[in-house]
Amino acid sequence: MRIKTSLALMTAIGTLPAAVFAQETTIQVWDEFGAEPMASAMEKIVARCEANTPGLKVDRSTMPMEQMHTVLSTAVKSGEGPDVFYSSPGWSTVGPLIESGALAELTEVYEAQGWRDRVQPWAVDYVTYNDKVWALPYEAEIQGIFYHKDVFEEHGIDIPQSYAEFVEATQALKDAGIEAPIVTAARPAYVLGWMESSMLGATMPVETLETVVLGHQSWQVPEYEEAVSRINELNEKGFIPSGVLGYSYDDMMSQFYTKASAMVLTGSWIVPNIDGNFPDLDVGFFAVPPIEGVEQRAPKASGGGFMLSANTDKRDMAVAYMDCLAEPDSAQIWLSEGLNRAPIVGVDPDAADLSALNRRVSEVVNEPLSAFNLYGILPSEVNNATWNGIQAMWAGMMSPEELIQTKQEAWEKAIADGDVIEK
Amino acid sequence: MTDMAIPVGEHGDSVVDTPEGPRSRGDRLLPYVFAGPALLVYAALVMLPLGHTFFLGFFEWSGGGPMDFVGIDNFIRIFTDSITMTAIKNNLIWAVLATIVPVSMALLLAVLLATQLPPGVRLFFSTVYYLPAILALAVSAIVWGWVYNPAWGALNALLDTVGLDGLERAWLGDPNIALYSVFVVSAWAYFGFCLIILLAAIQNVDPSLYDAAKLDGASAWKQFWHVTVPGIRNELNFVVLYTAIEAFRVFDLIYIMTGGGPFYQTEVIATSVYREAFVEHEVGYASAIASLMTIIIATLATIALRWRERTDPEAQ
Repeated sequence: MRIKTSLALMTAIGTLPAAVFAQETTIQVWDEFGAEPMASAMEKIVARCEANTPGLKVDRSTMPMEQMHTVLSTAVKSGEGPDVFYSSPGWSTVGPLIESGALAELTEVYEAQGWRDRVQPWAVDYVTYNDKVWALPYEAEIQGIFYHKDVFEEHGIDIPQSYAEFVEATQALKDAGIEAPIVTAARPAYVLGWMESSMLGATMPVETLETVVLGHQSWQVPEYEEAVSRINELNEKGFIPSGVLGYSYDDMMSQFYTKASAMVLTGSWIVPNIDGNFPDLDVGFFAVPPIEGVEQRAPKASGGGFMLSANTDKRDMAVAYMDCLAEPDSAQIWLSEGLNRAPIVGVDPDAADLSALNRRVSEVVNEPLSAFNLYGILPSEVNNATWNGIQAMWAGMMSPEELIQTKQEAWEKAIADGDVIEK
Repeated sequence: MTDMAIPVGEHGDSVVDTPEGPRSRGDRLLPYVFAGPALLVYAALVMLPLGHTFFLGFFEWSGGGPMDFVGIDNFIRIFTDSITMTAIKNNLIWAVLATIVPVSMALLLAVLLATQLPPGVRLFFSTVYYLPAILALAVSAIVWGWVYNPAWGALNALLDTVGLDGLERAWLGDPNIALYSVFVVSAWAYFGFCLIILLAAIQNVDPSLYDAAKLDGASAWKQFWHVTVPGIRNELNFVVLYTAIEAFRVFDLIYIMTGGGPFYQTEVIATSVYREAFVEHEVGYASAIASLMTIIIATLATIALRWRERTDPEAQ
C-alpha cells in the first residue's frame, strides 16, 4: 500500500509542469494598454508568455504614455520603476532616458536572441541611435489623412494624387459648405508635429532630410520653407477650424467622428478606436500627397516599443518576456485581437479579420518607402520650439520665416549641447 | 514696552526672572521640547526639499545622469529667457487680478447678503456661491473647457443664440484672451471661499457701531468704509494674502485647460517649472525657477504679515 502511494505520488509529481519547480520571478511591466481592444489582447499575450516561460510572472500597470514620460526617469533612477516599460522609442523620449541612465542598451540582446531576424529592419533602424539599439518596437504606425469616404463620394472627390489636387479637393469641400474640411488640434502642441512630419514628407526628399538631421545642417533650406509655407496656407485658406488653437486632441477627433470635418490629420493609432467604437463610419486613408518632384511617402515610425530598465535586478526574466513578445504568435494576437501592428516578421495580416481601413493602413506601413516622423529623430527642445512656433504662426504672432529661424536656433543649441543623434 | 523693573538673579543660577515671573531653566526649555518633534517633521518635509531644490538650481541636470555645476547661470537665465519671463509676467497679472476680482466680488456680495437678506435666504445664497469652491480645480477646469469649447461650447452657443455671434471665439486658443479666460474659472472657483469668510466677518461687526454711525449721519458708503472695512480688516487681509499665494501656486487650471499655450501665452511659473523639468528635461533650470517662486511667495507672505502686525490696532 505504501509502495503504491509512493509510486502514485511520484507519477503525479512527474506530470506537474516545470513551472511549478522553477522559482517564480515577478517582473514589473508598465504599458499604456488600458483600453479595449488592446487591453484584452495584451492580457492574452502576457498569459501566453507566462505559460511558455517557466517561472515568469508579469505584474502589469497601465497608464497614459504622457504620464509615463513624466514619472519614468525619476522612478527608474530611484529603483521604484518597472523592469520593462512601453514607451515611445523616438529620440525625443529615448534621448533623455539614455542621458539619465534609465535605459538599458539592447544591442547584445538583439544579437543573442536573434531579434535582428525577427524584427523588421526599418523598425530596428528606428530604435537604433548612435549604433546602439534601445527598444523592441511594437507598434508600426503611419501618419496622414483619414477621410470620410462617403463625404468624398457625395461631393464627387477622388483621392488626390498631388499636393495641388489636395488643395483643390479641400477647396471644393469648403465651397460645398464644409466650414473646415481638415481638422487638426493644437493642444497639446505635439499634435502639430504630425502635421509638420506629413508636410515634410510631401515637400522634402528623404535624402535631404537625412542630410539636415544626421549631418547637422541648417533648416533654412527651400524644402523646409516650402513645408512651413504649406502649413501656414492651411490656416490662411481657412481649411482648418478658425479656433484650431483651442482644439484639444479629443475635440479634433469628435469633430471628425461627427463628420463636421471630412478629413483629420493624425496617425494609424486611431484605427483600433474607429474599428472598435465607430464601425459604421466608412473611413479611408491617404498620405499627404507630394508636391511636384517629390516621391509619395508617408511618415512611418515605431510609435511605441518595449524597453528595459537599466536598474532592473531581474534582467534575464525581463529579456525572456521581451523575447516572448518578439515571437510571431504574440505579434499575431496583437494584430488579430489588439488590431495593432507590431513590426515583427512572420505576422500574417490575411489571417487576421481586419477592417478595410486597417488593411489599407497595413499596406502603407509595409511600403518600402517612407518619410520621417520628426518626433523620432529630433530632440524634444527642437520639436517643442517648432510646434509652439506653429501655434504662434497660426495666431499671427510669428511669420513663417521667424518660425524657421526659431527652429534653427533651437537646433543649433541642441547640437551645441550634444542632444542630437550623431549618425 | 513696560517700564516695570525686572529683578535679576534673586533665585540663583537655575532660576531666571522673566516678565511673567521666575522660571527655571527646565521651564524655559520646555517649549522647545514640545516644539522639537514638529520642528523636525517640518524640517524633513519642508525645509530639506526646499534646500535641495535650491541646491539643484546650481547644476545643469536632466533628472538623471551626471550633474554639472554651473554656478548661478540657471538663475541668470531666468531673466534672459523670454518664455520664463512671459510666465513671470503672466503670474504677476494673475496675482493682481486674483487679489482684486474674487475678493471684490465676494466683499460686495457679502455686504449685500449680510445687510439686505433675511437669514434663511442668506444661507441659501451663501451655499450656492460656495458650491464652486468644493469642486476640485481639475473638475472645474474640465467643465469650463467644455463651456469654452470652440466647436460646441455653451458660451459660443449662447452668444450665437442671442445674436452676438460676432463675439464668438476660441476662448482658450486666442493668445490675447486665453489667460483671462482661464482666470475667470479661477475667480469663479475662489470667490465663494472668500465670500464665506467675509460674510462671517461682517456678521461679527458690532451692530452698535452702525447705529452710532447712522446717528452721526453717515451714508451707506461711509458706514461701509469706516465701520465694515475696519471691522473685517483681519479677515480681509487673510483672503487677500490667501488668494495672492494661491495665484503664485496656480498650476492645475492652466495645465488642464491650455497646457500653457498657445505659444506659451498662458504659461505661469508653476507650469514653466513643470515644462522645463518633465518636458524639456532641464531639472536644474526648473529648480532655479521653483526657487524663485518660493522666494516670491515667502516675500509676499512676510510683507503681508508684517504689514498686518504694524497696522493691527490691537497690537499698538
